[in-house]
Formats: sequence, structure tokens, C-alpha cells
Amino acid sequence: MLPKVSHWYPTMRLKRVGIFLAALALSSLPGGCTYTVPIDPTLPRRPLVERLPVMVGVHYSEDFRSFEYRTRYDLYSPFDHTYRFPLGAASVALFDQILASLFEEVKPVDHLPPLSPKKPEISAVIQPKISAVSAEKLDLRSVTIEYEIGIYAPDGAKVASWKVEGFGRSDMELSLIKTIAGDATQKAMRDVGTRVLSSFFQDPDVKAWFDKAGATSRTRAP
Amino acid sequence: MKNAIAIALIALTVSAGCTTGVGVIEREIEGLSKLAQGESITLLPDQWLQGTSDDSNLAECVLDAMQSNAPGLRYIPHQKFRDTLFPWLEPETLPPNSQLEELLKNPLVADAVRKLDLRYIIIIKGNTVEEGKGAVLFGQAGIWGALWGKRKSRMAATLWDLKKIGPAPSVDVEAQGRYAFASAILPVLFIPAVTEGPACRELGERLVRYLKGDSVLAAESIESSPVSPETE
Repeated sequence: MLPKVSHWYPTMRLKRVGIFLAALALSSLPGGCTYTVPIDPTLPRRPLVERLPVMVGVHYSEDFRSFEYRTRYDLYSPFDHTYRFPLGAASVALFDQILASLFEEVKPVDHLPPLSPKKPEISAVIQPKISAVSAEKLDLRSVTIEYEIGIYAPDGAKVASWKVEGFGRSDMELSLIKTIAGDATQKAMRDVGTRVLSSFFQDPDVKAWFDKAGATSRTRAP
Repeated sequence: MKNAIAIALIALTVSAGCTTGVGVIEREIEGLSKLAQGESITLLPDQWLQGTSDDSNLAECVLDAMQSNAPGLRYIPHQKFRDTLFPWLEPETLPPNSQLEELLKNPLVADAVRKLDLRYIIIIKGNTVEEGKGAVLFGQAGIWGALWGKRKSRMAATLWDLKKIGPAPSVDVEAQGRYAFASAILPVLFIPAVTEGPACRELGERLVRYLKGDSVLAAESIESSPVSPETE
């Protein structure tokens, strides 16, 4: 009588383990995982550019603030892994630093010009947009971000608009893919910061506008 | 037992025959001024400035060699220096060597450099090449074959003297080594050629000598060895 029990018990246990493993595999198949890439857009303190003694407004649209770039990565895994780059918040922080380095005063405005006559002291409104993002598919080691920067007069006329592309490549080894992607993104943002800070007033339309607005451009490109 | 001793002796003999020292070549050095008390230096990896890589191992190796030869050397970490001069020392904005004067014309940059008491910006470049012969086969019968060859590491330092704007003098060293690998079923011989370490140590030592004002010694060594004796 006893041998029956001893045969039955291990068989049932194996079946349960098998069902559990099958369920686990099935549940993983359609979903995969989503990882958030950590991005630190902090630029070095006090960039070496002179600030113009004017007040500008900055408008970050809702689309810009909440912008996310997502890419799938499945090189070493049978499952899809999605990497989420929260670029909106990082870009707001990046442009806050850039504009604070270029102008004496920066005021957030909740809409594009025309502005209310109560804000006559604002010389222009600047609106950055993210126009393109790409990451190297192989290992997310390289990231390119393109911004479009628009400058508007207080009456709503467009003063200038240009595109700035930043590229970053991570040399990190033995790190998580999301950490490597975050490092590359941070470098791309530093590249954008470099390009904007060093060339903002080199655009003739921009320079002419701010000269006309009563400020003399003192920022020099070496 | 006797066979094992015989094989070990043969391997030892072969090893001794293949061992190579590392030679150093000095290519060019002129126009360096002594580092005054209180003045500092910074080392920047060339790959950084070109925007091709963030690797700073070579520069750190040279710095280690300099600091071990001159413990009191005042050094500004390269990342700190780059951050201090942001955004003018990035791959996008960095001027070529000949335009260093232009960079220093920016009053904000000149002021930041003056506050650091910086005298020299030293750009470190380096590469390693190998020329090998032979072949190795892997199979069920083990590993059979032999490989041997030369390995060369070349490193150069370009010095921007911030007090004397003009052509930047440079120091160029080269370390060579030979490597060998032989295997009959199992590897019986492996002699690596590590050349990067000796090259950067030599470069670091020479830079310290020049910055201490040992330029007479530098000039003599150019005359006596314009091209490369390989030391064993």
C-alpha cells in the first residue's frame, strides 16, 4: 500500500513545478520589461559666457515637458525590453541652465506671444522643441538629440528659428544598459549646451534682435 | 620526471631567448620653460578633445608617473579643468593648437585660467601597433602552433605654455617589445609584451625632468640618439 503514495507524491510535485515554470515563461513572453534611463542634464556651474542684461520669457509646451523617447532592445534576450528616456523633464532642466547663463533674467510664460501689455519688460520669448531623437540599436551606447529653438518677439512675430543637434557616446564598461544609455544622453545634452552657449548670438537675426532690444551682445566666441 | 625537467629547461631556454626589453625613442623636444613654484599643469587626453572617446587611461598613467617622480607637482584634474572652461574646451568649440591665443583672448577664459595658476596644458596622445607571425590551430588534439611578433606603443605629449603663446613643443616616446607564444597540445611558452606601461612611465619621467628645467639634458639626448636604440 505504501509504495503507491511514494510514487504519486514526486510525480505531482514535478507536474506542479512544470506548470509553474510554463506559466512564468508565458507571462514573460508578451510583456518583457520597461526600464527608465536615468538622465542627469546638469551642466558645469557658471559657464564662461557673459549674460545679456535683458529679460526673456521661456515657453515649455506640455508636449515638450512630457516628451519621452522609447526604444526596444532585444539583442541578448528572447524577450523585448523597452527603454524609456524621460527627455522632457531633463530638457526643461537643461534649457533652464542654458538660458540662465545667457540672460540676466528668465521668466516662464504659459503661452507663446503675443504677450499681455503687462509684461513689456520681456524682450523675447524662447521656445525649445525636441525635433528628433535616436539611439544606437546595438547597445544604446550612442544617443543623438535634435532640438529646434524658436525665438519670438513680444508681439508674436518670429525672430529666428534654428536646429541644434547634440551627440553623446558612452565609453562605460560593465554597466547596465540603462546606465550606459543615460551616460550617452547626458553627453548629448552637454553637447547641446555647448553648441547653444557658444553660438547663440552668432545668428545674425538673433544678434540684430537683441541689439535692437537695447542690449549689446558681449558674448564672445573664442 | 626526467622528461618533465627536460621540457621545463627547454621552455626556460626558449623564454630567455625571446625576452625583450623596452626601448625608448625621443623624437623631439624644444622650447620648454621651467615650471615656477606655485604653477600647475593639467593633462588632457587627445581622444577627449577630438570627441572620439572618453578614455583617459593614458593620461592617468602619465600623470601617475609624473607624480611619483615629482610628488609636489601641482595638478588640476582634467575633468575639473574642462568643467571650469565650459563651454570652450569641448570637441565642438576647442580651437586647434595654433589658435590657443584666440581661446585666451576671451577675457572670461583668461580670467579662469589665471585663477588656476595654470602654466601648461599637456595633451597626451598614444597608440599601440602589433606585427605578428605564425599560426595556432585548436582541435581535439590540443593547441598546436606558435605566434611571435613585435609590439610598439608610441606616446606623445604636446605642451601648451600659457605664458608663452606660440608653437607648442612636443615630446614623443616609443616603447617596443617582442611577444611569443608556443603550444604543443598545451601552451608551453607565453611571453607577453607590455609596452604601454613603460612608454607612459618614460614619458612621465621625461616631462618631469623638462618641467624642472633639465632642458640641457634633453638637448643632449636628442643629439646622441635621434633614432631609437632598442634596449634589451
